[in-house]
Formats: sequence, C-alpha cells, structure tokens
Amino acid sequence: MAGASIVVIALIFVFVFYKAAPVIGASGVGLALSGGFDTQVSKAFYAPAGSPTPAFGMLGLIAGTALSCGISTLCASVMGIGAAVTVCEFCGRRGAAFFIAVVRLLAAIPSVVFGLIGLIVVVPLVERLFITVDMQIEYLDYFQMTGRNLLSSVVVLSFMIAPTVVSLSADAIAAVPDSLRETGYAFGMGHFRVIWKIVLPSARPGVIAGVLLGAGRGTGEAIAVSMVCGGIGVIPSAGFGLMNLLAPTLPLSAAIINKSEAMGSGHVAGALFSCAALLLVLGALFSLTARVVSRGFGPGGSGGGIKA
Amino acid sequence: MKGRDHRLDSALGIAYSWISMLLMAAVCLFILVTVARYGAGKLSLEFLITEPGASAVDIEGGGILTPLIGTVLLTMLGMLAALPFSLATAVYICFYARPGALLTLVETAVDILAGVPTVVIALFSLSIFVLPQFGFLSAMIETDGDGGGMAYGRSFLVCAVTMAIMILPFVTKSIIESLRSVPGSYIDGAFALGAGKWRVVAQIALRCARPGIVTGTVLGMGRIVGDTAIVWFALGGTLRMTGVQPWYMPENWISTLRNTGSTLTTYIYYTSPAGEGNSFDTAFGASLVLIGMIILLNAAAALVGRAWGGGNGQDAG
Amino acid sequence: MDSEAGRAAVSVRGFSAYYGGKEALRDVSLDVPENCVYALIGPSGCGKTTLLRSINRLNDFVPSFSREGEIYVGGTEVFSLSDRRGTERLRRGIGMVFQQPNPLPISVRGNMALPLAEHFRVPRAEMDARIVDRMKQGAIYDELKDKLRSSALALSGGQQQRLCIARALMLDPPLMLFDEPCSALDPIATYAIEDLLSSLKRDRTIVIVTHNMEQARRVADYTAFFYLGKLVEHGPTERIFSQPGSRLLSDYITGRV
Repeated sequence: MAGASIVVIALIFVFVFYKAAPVIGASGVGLALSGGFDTQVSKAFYAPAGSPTPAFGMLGLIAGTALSCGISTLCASVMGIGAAVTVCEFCGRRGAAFFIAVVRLLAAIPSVVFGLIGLIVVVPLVERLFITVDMQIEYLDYFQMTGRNLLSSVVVLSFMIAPTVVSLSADAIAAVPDSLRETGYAFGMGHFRVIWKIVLPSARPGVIAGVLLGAGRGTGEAIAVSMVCGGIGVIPSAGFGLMNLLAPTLPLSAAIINKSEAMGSGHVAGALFSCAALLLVLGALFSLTARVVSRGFGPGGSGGGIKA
Repeated sequence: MKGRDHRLDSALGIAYSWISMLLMAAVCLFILVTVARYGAGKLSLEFLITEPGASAVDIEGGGILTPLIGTVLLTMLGMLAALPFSLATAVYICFYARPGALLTLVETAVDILAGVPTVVIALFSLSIFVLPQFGFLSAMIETDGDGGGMAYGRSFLVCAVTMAIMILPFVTKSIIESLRSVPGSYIDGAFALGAGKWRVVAQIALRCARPGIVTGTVLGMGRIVGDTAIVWFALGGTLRMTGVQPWYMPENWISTLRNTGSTLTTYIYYTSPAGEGNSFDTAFGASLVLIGMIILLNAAAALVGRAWGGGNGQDAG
Repeated sequence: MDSEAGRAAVSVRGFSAYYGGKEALRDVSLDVPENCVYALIGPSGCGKTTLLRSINRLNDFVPSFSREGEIYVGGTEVFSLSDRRGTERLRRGIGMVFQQPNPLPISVRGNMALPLAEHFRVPRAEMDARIVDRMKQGAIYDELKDKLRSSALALSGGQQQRLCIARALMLDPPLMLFDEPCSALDPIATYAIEDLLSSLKRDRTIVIVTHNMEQARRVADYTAFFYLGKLVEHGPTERIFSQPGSRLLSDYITGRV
C-alpha cells in the first residue's frame, strides 16, 4: 500500500501524456511557440468527426501562466515574507497565534470563493480604476479591455499564494538558532537589522521553498483564475507596455476549465490534455526544486522547519 | 570611514512587515465580511433543506440540500479512501524503509504528487475512469459495447477516488511529521521491553501521533471541501442527484453514489456570474455555508487535538 | 564611581541577578584591569555566564531577567543606558565570542565584512585590507586566504571559532568577552585559540568564562571563582591556584566539588 503514490503518479503521467500525444504530435514545437488557441479550439469543436488532429498553439496560454503566476508570486513573496517576519518577531506570542490563525483561514478559503470575490469586487474595481472608454476603443483591434484581465488574476492569485509563503517562511525563521541572533546583537545591531542581515539570510532555504511551493500553487490554480482572467489567451506584446496588465489572459490551468465545455470533441480534449501535460511537468519541477533547495543546505544551518 | 545610521531603514522595514501582515489580515476579514454580508440574506433553514432548482431559470428559488450532502459525502468517502494508504505510506517511510533507492522513490513520488495541480488530477480521472473495468464506480461508464471512451465516467465514487489521490500526499506528509515528532525514547523504551515492531508502531507511535493524524485528516478534508476543479470534471455539473429517485431512499443509495450530483463549490461556481446561474447572492449564501463548514471542521480538529493532549498542533497552511 | 573603577576596564559593584524569582548572582564585586585575561571559573550553574552576558547586556533578551547593582565598562554604567541606541553603541565596543562557533551561513568574507559594514560605509579596498589584517590577527588568514568566497559552514569547528574571533576584531573592541570558547573544540583547536588569547590581550582586555581550570591557569592573568551565584575568591591566577584561600576553591581545584 505504501507504493500507492508511485503507482498513482506513474499512471497520471502515462494517461495524461497518452491523451495529449496526438495533439503534441500534430503540433510539434509550434505547440509552445505559436498562438491562436481560442480560434483553434472552436474550429476543432466544429470540425466533422473523423477529421485529422489539427495543430494547436499554446504560446498565449504559456505566457498567461508565466505572467500571472510570476507577478503574483512576486507580490505574494514580498507580502508573505513581511508577514512571516511580523508573526515571528514583532507581535508576541498572542499576536503570533492570532495572525497564524488568520493565515490558515486565508489558506483554507476555497478557490471558488476567491474567484467569486474577485468577480464581484476586484473585477469591477480594476475596471473603474484603470480602464476608460478611450482606452477600450484604442485597443479594440487587439483585445477587448474589461475588468477581467491579467491584473485581476494577479490580485486574486497573490492572496491565494501568500499563505503558503508565510507558513514556510515563518517555520524557517522560527528555526533560526538564537545563537545567530545573539551574534548580531553582540555587534550592536538593532532588532530589524538582525532580522534583515542575519535571520532572513539564514532562513533562506525555507523561504525559497515557500516561494517555490507558492509558485506551484499559482501555476496550478484553475477555478479562481478562470473566473477573473477574461478567458482569451492574448499574447503579450512589448508595444502594449503596461497595458498588457489590462489585457485578458488565459493561463494553462484556467484554459482547462474555460474550454472544458468543448471537450466533447476529442481534439479539444487532446489540446486540454496537452495543457495538463505541461502543468504536470511544471508542477513536478516546482516541488522537486523546493525539495532540493530545502534539503541541500549544509550542516549547522537552519534548514530545519521545512516541512512540506 | 563614514558612519551608517539604520534608524530610517529599520523603521521602514518594520513598517513594511506590519503592513504586509495587516494587509493579509484585512483581506481575510474583508472576504469573510463580504461573504457574510451578501450571503446572510439567503441563509435560512429552508435554504439548507431544499433541493436546488432544476435549471438556471429557477435557481433563485431552490436551496442547497443536495450540494451540501454532496460535499459531506465526498469528504467522508475521499478521506476513507485516502487514509489507509496515507497511514501505510507514512508508517513505511518512518519505520520500515531502509535508506536506499526504494525509500527515495516513495518520498519523491509523494513530493511530486503533492505538486500536481488539482485540475490535472481532475483530467487524469476523466482519462482513466472511462475504462470498462471501472464500471462499478459509475453508471455512466459503458461496460459493454464500444463507447469510444467518450462517455466520461462521472459519479460520487469516481470523484471520491480522485479526491483521495489529490489529498494522499498531504495527509501522508502530515502523518509522517507527527510520527517523527514522537519522542524516540518512547519507541526505544518499548523495544527495550521486548515489544515486537508492529506492536510498537501500532500501540506507541500511532497512539502518540494521534493528534497529528487528526490534524492531517482535517487538512485533507478541508482540501476536499474546498476543491472545485475535481468536482467539476469527476462529478459533473448537475445540481441535483441524478441516480434513481428518490435519491435519499436506502435502496437507491448505491445508484446515487454511482451517479452525478454537485457540491457546494460547483454550486457556487454554477450560480456565480461565471456560471450560468448569475445569481450572486445565492452563490454567497452557499459560500457562507461552505466557509462555516471549514471553520467548524478546523475548530473540531483543534478541540480533538487539545483533548488528546498532543499539543503539536501543526501548521495546516 | 570610585577611583578604582576608573582604572579598571570592567568594574562590577554589588551586582545581583535574578531569573524570575531565582537568584543567579548575589552581591558580586570585582575589577578587571586593562590589558589582561580575566577568567571566570566555577561549576556549571554558578552564575559566571550570567555575569558575562550582563556586561554587554545580552541578558536583556531574557524576559525574566532582572538585576541590582552596577557594572561599569570604560567608566560608563551599562544599565544606565536607557535607550536602544546607547545599548547598541555599548555592544559595538565589546566583542563577544560564544560557546558554539556561530558563523552565518554565508561566505567567509561575508561573515568578516558584516560587523563593519553594519556601522560604517567602507570603501571596498579598505574593507578588504582590514579583513586580511583581522584574519591575520585571528591566526586564520593563512588557512582561509583562498576560501574567502566559500561558505563559512564548510570550515572545521576550530576554524569557525577563529573566524568568529577575527570577525569580532573587525570593530576593534577594547573589551572582548569569551563564553567557554573552546568547549566545543578538540585539543589542537583549543590550543590554537589559547595561543591567540595571549596575543590579543596586548591591545585589549579579555574576560573569559571557562569550566576548564587548566585553561584558566594557562591563559588567565586573573581568576575569579564562583560558586552557587557567589564570588568566592578572586585574584592573580597564580596565587588562586597555588594558595587557595578557601576550602571550597581548593576542593574545586582538586576536583572534589
């Protein structure tokens, strides 16, 4: 029974890649290097039965995953590390217990609720604050500018990822031995300087593991993002500048949800399984890297406290 | 040498740390308040014990009885399916495995599985539970003739097995952690008294680790309760129970489990502006119930943990 | 402040210390002359480490700690420093070496640069020159001159401890506190550090806590013997060990306490 995980993970790889194989075969490297996923899906959906597997291009989706996950991991790390420092260093035993409960609650809020709040609160807010009719007209040729866009996805995702960062960072910070802090104090360093120059560098492996696992959660998060992302895999362009943030996006995971209704077509199903295959590889990479980072730390350090 | 003064950057750093924490706390509070504000109006006994309307048009009138029961069912079934495997894996890793390739393989598999996005696990269940061999799990799997693999096997049982796969690594890790925190002296002491290995594991280690095992179980249940992607694919999008009616009669239970239904999360998705229902106060009403369930679940776990005097309440984040 | 305290590097006056209700030190008074090695010895739990950690107010971080009496360092009463910056400036002038070698998990150079870079803007060339010089003073330069960029955690225990000493020298402290610096080291590493102590005392005062009487005898000019929180006897090391003035001390020296 202890081998169940091995069997299951092997089955997942086999079945996902088996289902994805026709589309990967038909698309070749174009799968990762070209766009047009949305039209390809609707074309494939209406294609007559028995037609050959069409090529798909997921560049827009990959860019969507990279951007939404990358930016929100960055935001979540900045916020999460700060929060972890507060929990461990500034607010005493009771305050720490309270804030840890808050972080756990935030982590336990289901992603569909995050999506709902995003849809009812964040999307209208982003639309009102950043988007004008003039802008909508200006970009009409490229994409439809609404509140459902990359920025909204980033806002929602950041708060979904942050609890993971806080949890692991706080564990790592708490595991830094007091003797290292005392070294700093003995040099006449103030409390925050000790945290900044000694505690955080010593806790780095755990903090990085937290960020990586957070990024993993961000890549895989499907429902909430699918509700606020706009559902179109626009390929970002340098010419849009910051407007890229206001363009609709469609990360790989959200694409699986958004296009699931077209899965009656075997080709569309194959395309979605290709997304899943890519996500599978990404997810495995993130968790393996997190594992290597948190374990590959020399003796005497503070690699402790990393539990995930 | 010019002196350096860290008063300003320390003050800024402390402010940054506090702002980060307070921002997260504020967002958490804001989510709870928003859900409560929009959802409270919907909350009533009737809302809880009425079946949802049959279609998007009359969704407003219905309640959340079947989604609620669907969530409870899936949570129980998924946990029942995962727990034995998680316990076995954890006990193997902590007590029986010798360092070597096999142990590394098991640990790596658990780690990788933990990193697989739920939406990928959901698609995986679609791909494997069309096989006729799994016909006993779902009435939708065609066990005879060739369905071309297009009739996706969806049912409570299929979904529960998929959920079990999803939570397997998390529950396993949590149990490993609590087993490792059992003082080695207890275990050595038991061995010194001449107890057999299995007895030591079963009577000393597992008993001492009980609070941690409860924590891990609750962690897993929380993940099932909160998951949407797997339900969306493995259970389907029907709001009501689709087995032989009336679904609640004992003679129809098997049929109910082998057919589709919904949970609170898919109900929320369906009734939200993202779905077809577009009735967001209903969605918030269901969200309120959902979050209430999660808080109760965690509170119950904390109580059990305290009652057993474990005190090693591990981080569920 | 009396005249005797003015000449001493550290002057302890009627000092008592408590952890919660528990007394750790009772009414201790002693003077540490400048440019000498002063050893605090006694069985564990006698309060010697408490006294050491009170000198640079590191015990402030123990919530239950309280005290009576005064400690003067260079003429300043350390507990009269009420604000954080004053305490931090005091600590800057007192180097401390701990029981466990505690290099940070960064490079050797990073460890050396930390204390100075914390308090001063130092041009890189000047910093490098000072690092080389202090590592030479710490008798660690020859071994580590090619390893400045590698992790300090990769060093042996003895090297780590000498690195920590060299690191403490970066701020040129006139007073250094050593808290059982050799208890985690093997005899050869211990010998290297004892050797170092006698060269360091030329320009500064050293207070060392040790549970090893032989070590005190080898390195210390003066020795103070503590027992159960009380200062039993103190004076020149030679006299303390050759003519112990109390039964307790002679029992301790002969290993009966």
